[in-house]
Amino acid sequence: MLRWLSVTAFAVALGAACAGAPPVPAQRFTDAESEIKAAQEIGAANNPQGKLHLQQAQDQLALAKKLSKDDPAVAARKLDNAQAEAELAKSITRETSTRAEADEARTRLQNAQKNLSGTGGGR
Amino acid sequence: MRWSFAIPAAAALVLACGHMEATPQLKQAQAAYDKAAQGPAAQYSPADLATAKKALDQANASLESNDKELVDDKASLALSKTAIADSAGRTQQAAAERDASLKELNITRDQMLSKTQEELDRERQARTAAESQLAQSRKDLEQFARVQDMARGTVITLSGGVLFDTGKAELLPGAQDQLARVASYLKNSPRPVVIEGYTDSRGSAKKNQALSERRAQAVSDFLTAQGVPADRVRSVGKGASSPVASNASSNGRAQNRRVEIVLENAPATAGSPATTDTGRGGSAAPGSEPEKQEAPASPPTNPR
Repeated sequence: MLRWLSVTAFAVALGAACAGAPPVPAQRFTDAESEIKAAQEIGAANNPQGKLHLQQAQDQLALAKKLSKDDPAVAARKLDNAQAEAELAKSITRETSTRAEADEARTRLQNAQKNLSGTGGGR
Repeated sequence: MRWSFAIPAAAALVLACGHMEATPQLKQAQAAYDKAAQGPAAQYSPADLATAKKALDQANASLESNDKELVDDKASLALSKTAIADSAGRTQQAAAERDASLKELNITRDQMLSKTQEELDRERQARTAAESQLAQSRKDLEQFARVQDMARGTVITLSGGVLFDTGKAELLPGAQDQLARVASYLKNSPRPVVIEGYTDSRGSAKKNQALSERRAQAVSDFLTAQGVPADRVRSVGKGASSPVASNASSNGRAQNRRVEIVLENAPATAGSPATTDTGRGGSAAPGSEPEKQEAPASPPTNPR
């Protein structure tokens, strides 16, 4: 009896080892796709650097889909990279617009200060 | 002999426990992180920088797997996370600059508004003071002259008897004090001034015309000497025209021998010099008062 139990346990362990990494959860793909969509929505495609990272995100996502069946561990890493690239595209796009706002505010301030110092002599 | 087995065994053990060297991708990620840690991310996005550090540590740890593809994937992730931290830091820095500029802009606008308000207040005060001075000056004039507001402006009438001897165009010493006060009044205004000389109807019209011109000119010269800008002043001789009283009585003739100083309503034209207008040309002569009646012709006598 004990002998049969040992054989069964060994067989289960061997089976688990041969099965490899578990499949990539579908939610991981959904998350990466949502991140790419969010980057597109804030206009990453209109930003030269943002566009580049958005394209890389899409490439990584496509690769993950291709590898998901045969090599889910690698596919999961490609998904990580796709999500990070999409996040980077968003961040760069936000940075560009915030920098433009900062530059505009500085120009407005300089003009106002120039007007203020130029109105010393009365009208 | 035993050593000959021990050395290869030790080498095999080292190889089994050791791991691969950092890939170019991982070196790039490390360099990018080191640079980002010195930039705005350290101050503005420390959480993102910590996430990048964690990804970099995981990439370094993956070297133990001796799997180059795994290392490069992890390094690539660390590189992206570092770039995110760097970008977030610059974004926060730009946002801080923007907010500071906008705050300063509001302060500057408030200062501009306040300055404009102060200027308006000063102008208002100056205008009120000038009006008050003009009113006071006019009250002063009304003590010795007739001051009337008419369609063409403010008309100050001075009696000829006070200003000139009969038949003369030289100002009497007593007239100078009055004219100095008139000059003070005129200097409070930028409006043009017309000085009109009149005589009574005794004497020839030609002589009366010439006398009235010289009298108007004498007054004009005195006023400009007192500081009334010459380009605002014009003098006109009107002779015996436009009497204000009957020439039949000595009292009426005294009223008709007069000088009228008109502070016109229209602003002065810059650069037009003081001139003498003969006033000849009938009832349409410039400066004549339309509301006044033309006096009936009187026989020529000695000019007064």
